[in-house]
Formats: sequence, structure tokens, C-alpha cells
Amino acid sequence: MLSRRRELGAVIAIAVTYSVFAYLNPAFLTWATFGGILTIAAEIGTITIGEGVLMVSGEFDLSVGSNFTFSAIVLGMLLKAAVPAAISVLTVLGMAALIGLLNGLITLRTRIPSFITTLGTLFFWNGMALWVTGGWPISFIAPLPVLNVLGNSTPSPASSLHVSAAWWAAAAIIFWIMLENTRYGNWIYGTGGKTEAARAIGVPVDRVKLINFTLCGLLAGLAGALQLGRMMSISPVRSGLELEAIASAVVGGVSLFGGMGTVLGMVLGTIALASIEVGLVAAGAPSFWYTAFVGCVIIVIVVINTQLDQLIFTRRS
Amino acid sequence: MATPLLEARDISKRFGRLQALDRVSIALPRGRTLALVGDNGAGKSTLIKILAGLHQPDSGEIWFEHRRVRLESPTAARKMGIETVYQDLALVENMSIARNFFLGAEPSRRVGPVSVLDTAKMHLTAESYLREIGITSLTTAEKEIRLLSGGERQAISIARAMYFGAKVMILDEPTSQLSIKEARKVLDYVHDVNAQGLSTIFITHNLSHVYPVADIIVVLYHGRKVGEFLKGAADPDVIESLIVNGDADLADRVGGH
Repeated sequence: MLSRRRELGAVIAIAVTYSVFAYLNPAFLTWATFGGILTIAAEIGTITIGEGVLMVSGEFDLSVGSNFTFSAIVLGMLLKAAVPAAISVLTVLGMAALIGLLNGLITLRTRIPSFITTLGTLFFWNGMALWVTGGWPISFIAPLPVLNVLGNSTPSPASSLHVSAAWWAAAAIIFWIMLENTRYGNWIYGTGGKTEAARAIGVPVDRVKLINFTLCGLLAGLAGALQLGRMMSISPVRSGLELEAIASAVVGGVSLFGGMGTVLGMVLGTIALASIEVGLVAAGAPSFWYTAFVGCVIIVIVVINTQLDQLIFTRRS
Repeated sequence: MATPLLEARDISKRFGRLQALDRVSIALPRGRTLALVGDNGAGKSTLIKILAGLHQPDSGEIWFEHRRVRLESPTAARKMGIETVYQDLALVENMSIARNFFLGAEPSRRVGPVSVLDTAKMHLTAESYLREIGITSLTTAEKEIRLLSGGERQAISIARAMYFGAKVMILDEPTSQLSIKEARKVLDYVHDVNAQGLSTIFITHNLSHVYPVADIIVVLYHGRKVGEFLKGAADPDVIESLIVNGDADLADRVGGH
């Protein structure tokens, strides 16, 4: 499939990043650095999978960052209230999925663009997060077992790799199978590729979108739980992660117009951006460079992908 | 002619203030081709969308194989054996031939707890049907639709309809965006399809494409049926004037029924 070739952009970005930063600082080429990259990538990457799969079906969710933060906060409050860990986690995941479902219901019932719906819910859930916390972060001094399972534990005491990366990997495998190898996955590509054609052939396109909104919310909530586990703290201040997730998906070859994208691409796209972030820090660059750099990378990679498409298309016809 | 396989009786459909169809009836015999002609906005698309299960009529009846039926969704229509090939929304460009061929009805097999796509079956089946319908330019079902010509796309849609056991195949403007050479090929496919006992409804506004294949020609004008002709009884000039002016009186005089 052509969509597989679109992952090339992320592969190039990773290769270039590694070459440049390894040249600037040989310490970049160590397992410790790579573990750190995967740890940073795990939370954004989990959001990116939900966002990317939703984008393949032709919709957006700008509220994933707020959902992420609100879910982590609610989890923190439940745990502080001594609610049993399993119940707390399942409640929060259920709530995050409902937040996603709500985005889908509003978008599909009213037929307004999901861009607008989720711009609204971005502010709404951000406001809720500030309201329930009064603006203060929620922190744990002593790690609870559940926080260790979600993100805090590491393979060895000094390791930069956290267990959250394993949850991300598990999500990636499940969603890879779903998107590439199931009937439902084929419906997602059809729904995003050409909604009317898919509808006419009998694909329940609205249900596909609704399910994907729900899954996107679920993964945003899971990512929030992973971050609370890893950092043992969550701030209600707006994270901006929604744009990083969309950027990672796009760098990984997910089309902004739907119908194209793979989970492998979403994973590679996230690793590419996380490598740049870690690389700039390792090279001693001020951290705000990352934001500016990512902006350039997005544009370059989308241009490369578009040119590649054109090239393949014109050579054929 | 024998009792019809598919019959629409007094179908009416209104969209807001627009009367898209006003008591239109058509009858399609087994193994025949009915051509539905008319200008833009005549109601052709609305009628076939009703027969495809995409729209519901406000009033009227649909009969299929001697039974009154309700076509409440595209899937319901497909299950009964009514397959529709839309001119521009038949296939998803970014997906492979095999994935398009089975979209909405994918074969799957169980691997442990999960049910996964049977990709081998998808490719083999799609490829063998493409051979059967006589497209020699395509040897692999891996290719994406957007890399194919218009004629190849129509052929894939027709092959897909045949595979899914169509009894009635509705072709929406199948030749409108094709070169003359490709259009001729598609008309050949329609001929082959009829020879295998399938019935087809063929929507077009190109009259020269209608004559070689149509057994019955139905003319729509502003949502009404203004003429119906059997093969041979149709005078191109009369049909032309019906399409443009909707003058039904003239049709009655000149051999319509």
C-alpha cells in the first residue's frame, strides 16, 4: 500500500536526527538516551495512536490534551481518596472514553466539523481540570503500587526506560492489528478515504467514527494515567499535547484528510519528534528550540510526502 | 415479456420543496437491460438511490422476485441481490483493489481470539474475477484504485457486483467519464452480464450508449416518467425531445406505451 511508503518521512527524520545529534554529542547514541526517548514518547505516543486512527477515519480530536490532563487529575483524586486502584483506573478509563464518545455524538448529531466540537471541549475539560483542582497540581510523595505499574517502575534502578513504554507498545500492537488486519480496520480506511462510497457500499460510517472518537478518548485517558504514574504528579495547566499528537501522526504519514495512515507510522512519527526533543536537550540547546524545530520538521515532512505522492501518481498515468 | 424481476410502483419522493419523483413506475424483466435516461435533475439518481436502499420513498411500493420488499439500507438491498455501481463513489481511491472489492463484506478467519482479514482469499478472489471479466491490464489486486483508468475502475465495480451474487446491477452513468474505447469495453461487460442472466439498470444521458444495450428505455423529466420504449420502437429524435421538453403527448403518439 502507498500509505506504507509515507512512513518514510518519519524514518528519514529519525535517521537525520540521530546523525546530527550523534555528531554533536556522541552520548546521544546510547541505550540510556534511547530509553529516555521511548519514555517521553510513551505518553504522547499513546495519544497519537487514538488521534491517528481517528484521523484515518476523517475526523479530529483537539480535546485529547485536556482529556489527558483531566483524566490524570481525576485518577489522582480517586487514589488520594483511597478508592481501590483497579476501580480508580477503570473509572477513569471509562470516563475518558465517554469524553471521546461525547465529542463524537455532538459532531455526528449536529454535523458540525469535529475541529469545532473538540475545540470547544478542549476549553471545557481544561476548565473542569482547573476547577476541580483550584489550579494546583496533584502530587504523590510516596509511590503507590498502581503508579508503579502504570509508569513509575523501571527495568533497573538507573534505567531511563519506564514501564509506561510497555503500555504504549501494547496499545500499538492492538491498534495495529485492528487497523491493518480486521474488517473494522478496512471500514476505517473506507470511511476516511471516501465517506460516501463507504456508506453506499454498506459500511456504517457514523458508527465507525463514533467508535473511533471513543477509542481516541480512551487512549488520551490512558496516557494521562501513564503520566501520573511516571511523574507521580499532574498539573491542570493546559498541556498542548493535542497538537504534538497530531504533529506526530502527520510526521508518521497520517493524512490530514483521512483515509491514509498506519500505526507503525504513528509510532515512528512520535519517536521522531521525541528524538528531536531529547537530542536538542542533549546538545545543550534551550528547550524552546524544540517547539520551533518541530514546526519546521512538520512542514518539511508533509512536503516530502506530498511530492512522493505526486511522483508515484504521475509516473503511473 | 415475463413477469418482472424488480418493479417500482408509483414511487414518490420529496426533498423539502422539491418533488424529486412523482409516482414513477418501472419494471425490469430478468436478464434484460433497462436504460433510465433524462437530463440533470430529472430524478434518475433519486430513483436508483431508492432501489439501492440509500433513500426511502415517501410513497409507492417495490417488488422484487414477486414479493413486496423494503430496502431500508444499502446492505439490505445488497443482501437481496441488488448491487449498485455509482459513477464516482463506487471505490475508495487510496485503498487497494482487494480492499475495495470486499469493502463492507470482508472475509475473515479466526486466529486465536481475534478475527482477522483473510487477505489471501481477498487477493485470489479479486484477481480471478478480474480475469473472468476480461481485464488483462491488471494482474495484481494489490494496486491502489487511484492508479487505475476509469474503465478499469468500472470493471472492478462490475466484477465486485457479480461476485456478490447480484441479480440486478444498477449502473450509474457507467460510461460518462470514459474515453470512447473504454466506454465500449464497459458496454461489452454489460452485454456479458446480461448473457449470464443478470438484469441491469443503466443510467445515462448519452443516448448513443443506450441503443446498443437497452431492451427498455425509460425517460424521466422533472421527476415524472414521460416515456417508455421497447427496443426498436424508440426513435432517437422523440427520446431526445422528451429528455429536453418532457413532452409526454408526443411520446404517446409515436409508439410509446
